[in-house]
Amino acid sequence: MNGKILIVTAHLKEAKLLAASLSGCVSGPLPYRYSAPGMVILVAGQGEESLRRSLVSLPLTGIRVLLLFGTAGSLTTVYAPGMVLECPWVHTLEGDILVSPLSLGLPRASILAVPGPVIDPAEREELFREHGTLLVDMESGGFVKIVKERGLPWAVVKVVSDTPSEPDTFPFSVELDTLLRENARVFLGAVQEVFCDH
Amino acid sequence: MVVINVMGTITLGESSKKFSDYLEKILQERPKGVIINMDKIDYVDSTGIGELVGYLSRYRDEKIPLALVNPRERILKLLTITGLEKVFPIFEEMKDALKWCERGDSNPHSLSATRS
Repeated sequence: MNGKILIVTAHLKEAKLLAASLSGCVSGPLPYRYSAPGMVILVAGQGEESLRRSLVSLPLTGIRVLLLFGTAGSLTTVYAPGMVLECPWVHTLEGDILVSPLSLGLPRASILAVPGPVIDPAEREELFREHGTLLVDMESGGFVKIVKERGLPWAVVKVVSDTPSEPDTFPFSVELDTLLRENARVFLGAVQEVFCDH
Repeated sequence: MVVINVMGTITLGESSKKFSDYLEKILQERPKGVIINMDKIDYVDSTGIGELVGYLSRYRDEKIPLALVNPRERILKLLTITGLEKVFPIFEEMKDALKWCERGDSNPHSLSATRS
């Protein structure tokens, strides 16, 4: 398969953890933060608007697939914090469900894209009742809309960062940092299994 | 109306994939309603629940009612602990699930009047 895999993260921290798990990874070239053989990593910023700004004008020549990697809040206790999940069903507040046929072989979950952080347990419960998704985040909706406009395959992979009764207000606590580090390896292993020639 | 009789376990790996592939296939056939008979399911792990929840929304989006019937106590407890009984239409009796599906109601919030 030709072309590079583009991994998009919201935070530099996530990109750094991925880079640390990739052999032959170097900084740049701009606009990418890191690159490794067959792969580039872009830090797009937090929230849909930052992501849109970063992605909309990005030349995607030579990119064969886009993957969003990061953390997500939980709307139920089905998956424990630290689980790494692929999210082939991205729900928007408008009621659309964006579906990816791509599979990385990871456990799957539905995710709701919202414009801002949801740190009130009651609000999370309300979102779950209303939309019925297991996870919530701020980037997946914008990411998928842009990628679909560009006609490229996509996947959203998220590490569960908290529980609905105790929403995480600090996305990079020491504990989560460790979980993210471990799950960056799991994610990259799945990516290499699916996309790299054997 | 499609009734799916599932037996055994739904866990990470082949069983979960088979289960979701089947739900996807049924979804493409656009039936009037789907009932998953759970009385012979021994165990569902979080992966299986993840698939169920994902497909519940997709069926609802397509206005196809999807109901669960007669889950064993352990599974019902899992659905309750995780709050999923609030979004899943769950029935003790097949006839009630059939009645609910025949009404063409894909909204679980209307269940309180019909759940036995």
